[in-house]
Amino acid sequence: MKKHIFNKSLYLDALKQTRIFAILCITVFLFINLAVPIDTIINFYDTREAADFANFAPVMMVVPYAVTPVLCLICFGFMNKRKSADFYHSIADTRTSLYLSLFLAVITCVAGIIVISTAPSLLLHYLYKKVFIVNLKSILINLFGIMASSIYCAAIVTIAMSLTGTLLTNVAVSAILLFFPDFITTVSASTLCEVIPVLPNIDYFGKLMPSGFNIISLLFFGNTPWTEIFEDISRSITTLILSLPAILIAVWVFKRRKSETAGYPTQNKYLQAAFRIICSFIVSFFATILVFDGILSGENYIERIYYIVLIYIASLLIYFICELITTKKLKNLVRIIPGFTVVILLNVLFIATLFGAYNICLSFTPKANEIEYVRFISGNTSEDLSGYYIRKNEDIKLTDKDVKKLISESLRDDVEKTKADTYYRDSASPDTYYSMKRVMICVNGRERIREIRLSEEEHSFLSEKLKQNPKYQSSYNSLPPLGKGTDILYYGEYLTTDDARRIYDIMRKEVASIDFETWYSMVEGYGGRNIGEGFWLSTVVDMESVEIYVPIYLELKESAEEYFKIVSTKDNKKDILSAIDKPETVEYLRAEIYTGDSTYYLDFDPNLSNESEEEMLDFLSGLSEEEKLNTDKPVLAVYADFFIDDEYGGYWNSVKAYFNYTGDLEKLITEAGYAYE
Amino acid sequence: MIFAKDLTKTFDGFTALNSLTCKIPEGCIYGMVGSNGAGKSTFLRILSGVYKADSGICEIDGERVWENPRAKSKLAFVPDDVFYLQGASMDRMASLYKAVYPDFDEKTYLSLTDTFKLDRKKNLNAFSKGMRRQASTILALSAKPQYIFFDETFDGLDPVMRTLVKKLICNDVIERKATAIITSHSLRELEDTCDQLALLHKGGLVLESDTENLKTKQFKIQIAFNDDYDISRFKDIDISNFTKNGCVTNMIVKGDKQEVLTKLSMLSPILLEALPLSLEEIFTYEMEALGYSFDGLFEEVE
Repeated sequence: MKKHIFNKSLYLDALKQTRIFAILCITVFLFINLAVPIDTIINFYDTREAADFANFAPVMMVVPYAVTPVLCLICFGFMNKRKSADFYHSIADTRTSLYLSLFLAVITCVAGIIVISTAPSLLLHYLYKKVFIVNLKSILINLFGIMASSIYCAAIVTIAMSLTGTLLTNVAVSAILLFFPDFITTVSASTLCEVIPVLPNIDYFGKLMPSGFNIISLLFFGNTPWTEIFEDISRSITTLILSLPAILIAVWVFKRRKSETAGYPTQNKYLQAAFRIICSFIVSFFATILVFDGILSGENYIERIYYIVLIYIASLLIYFICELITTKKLKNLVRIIPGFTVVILLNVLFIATLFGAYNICLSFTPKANEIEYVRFISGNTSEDLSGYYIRKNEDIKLTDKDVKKLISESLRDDVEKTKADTYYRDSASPDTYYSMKRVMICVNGRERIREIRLSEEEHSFLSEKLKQNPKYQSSYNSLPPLGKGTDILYYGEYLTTDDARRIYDIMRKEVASIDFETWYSMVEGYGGRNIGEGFWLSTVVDMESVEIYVPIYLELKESAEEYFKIVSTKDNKKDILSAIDKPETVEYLRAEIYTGDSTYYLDFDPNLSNESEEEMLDFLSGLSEEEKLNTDKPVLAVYADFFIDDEYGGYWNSVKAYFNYTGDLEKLITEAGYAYE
Repeated sequence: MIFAKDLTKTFDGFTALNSLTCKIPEGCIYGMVGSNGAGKSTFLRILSGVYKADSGICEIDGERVWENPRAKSKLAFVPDDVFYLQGASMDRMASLYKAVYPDFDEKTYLSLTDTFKLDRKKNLNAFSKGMRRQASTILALSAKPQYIFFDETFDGLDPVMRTLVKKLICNDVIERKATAIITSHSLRELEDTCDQLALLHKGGLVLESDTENLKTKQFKIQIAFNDDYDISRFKDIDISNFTKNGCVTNMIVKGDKQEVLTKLSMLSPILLEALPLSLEEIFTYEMEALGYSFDGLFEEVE
């Protein structure tokens, strides 16, 4: 009776069948996963390297996309040949047991490959803790994501294999099942986003898009960098949950599969027709988009018509090629011609759907009194501090009538301009500066996401309103503590990660005690002197991994001074001053001055010996190496590449140091020829 | 016992089995012959649980076969095109058979490979077609199934090996009271091995009998008369084939030989002779009676 669900012997034998491929994969992955850290260890100087997943074992990302499908082909490939299909279907097992035993063998093999290929590398990273800062959480989240997407991928590939009977159709149908929904939704959504500016970027369609809940799509759809595909644990969990119905469907299809399908492209003529229609539709869909855009814009210039015709012809060719490749029967080509009308009808249906969606999106212009609440949202996984606080406060529902009025009017204005086709003309105007805000607008209990434009005045007005909100206030004056999913990622060259951690801890304390107004203005970028240096903070907000850039501000004195103590040593200052004294040794020199409103840069190029260069040197002549840095006063950063002569013939040196600027700051900014914002 | 009733199976409009009904008792070697496309392989695949019949009943020991591990655990199927894992040796295949056939007997496997002088470690791809057939027979017999189905198993075997395989099948049936079904186009192979023979045509069973009975209940009569005559003269005789050449007639007759000869001699022929039929001739004449003949084709050409 055990064999009704699972056959252990068959499972073990299937594992045996995957052995050679698994060993091959493990060998390659182990080689890469060990060679890279060993190289880092050998070349280690003094900066510890953050070992998060992206630089720990990025090669493992090929597992769901390449290793899992091949393992499925090995274990379930018997379905493609009559003799092997006969053998496996004649053994004393139910189809369910046969499927589950082989499926589990695939998953076990994937898990084995992942564990064996990464464990030695992880051990090595731990053994060399002085070289690496191991971000175990990031590594485990990624490996979990890889495993979850492998399970999902295996389920989909086995569905495809159960529906088809040749390698070519196995692969083609797998690709269709894995990516077709994403293709259609992504192209449709991005088209709508393009023609409707109040819709946010396609990424913000979020959970509505297959890539919003299915990791496997992220490689080809969405804007996530490939190294961050598996970072998102919520997507990994939804992918794993999605695997369950996929497995159930796979079992159902596998049970219904006829053994005699082996060697035939698909199970029956209906599936064969569906296959060629989908392939053809994928190509024709691009023409559909052009037609939609053409009707909407009224711009039907000759190139557009030419491309539409060209794409439809290509779509028809694909329709015939699919039939020819799969059946190899020329006479079928005539028989299938009527089926192309389905492709045409699908195109018409999609154009109608796009127009429907367009009208629905633009019809959403609620009046202020209709809006229940609004909440500002973020969608990036890499943020500045402002984005971090927006993300942190995404749940705060704003019911202030002035805020609702502002949002309602801005949205209405944007929609009217979209309809009148003047939106972009307005945005391009040099007279008006707009900032974009992503906002969830709740009407009748239903939230809709929109991206609205706010002028400078409107933004200031909104900021004032947010400042008055006690929930916003309380959340702003804190930064996440290190540990428990939060760690520093320092990619710069001046600090070690431990230095950055120490500075961050000081900064946290300072932020907790600073007044809200000052910190808010610094975060929003209109107050505070950001010295252009900082570090990334990896943390988790609402179960989602995010990286936040934390700059060093002169207003946060203690942390800034700690930073200067490490970077701007007496020796560095001495070197810079000596370089300034001997401009002939300097190859490159840059000064940065932080005024609060902006950062001004002054570049010195000794090859351009002119008045401006000399003037710049004059500006820098008053700098002193002894002076203790006072962050209340103007601070100037100087970088220099210069030649130092010594008994061995000299060498090139690159140094950075910070000084208080005691000269005429106004003059420096306005008169120095090379000063710019 | 194997029981099939009204089994029907179609592929893309082609009817491979058409309401086939038969009973195959335990401990019997059942030979199945038929024209190409008659449905022999389809029948074995349905019996093995590979194909699901469109309609009808297929049972082994009173249990349906399709999706029934208990019924399927009693059988092994050796198809015409044998499956081997990529790059596998006999030992590797034996380990696969061990995994899927719980009664697989290692001793039988080792002894049979020795008997056939097959290299167990050698890649099966390096085996000849005949050797691969031998290997599949060894593996199937080592699985010790109660029911074993051979589809065109003797194809590609040399005469010595054919005899050996036949002996092994016979021994297995006798020793373990197993039941074997063998399909073949070579009636001579089945003649001396099978207890029962069945003839399939266009998906239906047109003839089923024990071998001995089949051979004795059909015979060829050569008869001649002085006067002109036609088939109507033999209205009391069960004739399946009638060919008249001048005054001499050859006919295939069914029934008791002695009784038929007595009846015919009463017609005062100038020539009367009864000749035994080989199974091949019986098959050919039966098929001709069903319209499966190409003799006319060459006569027209001539």
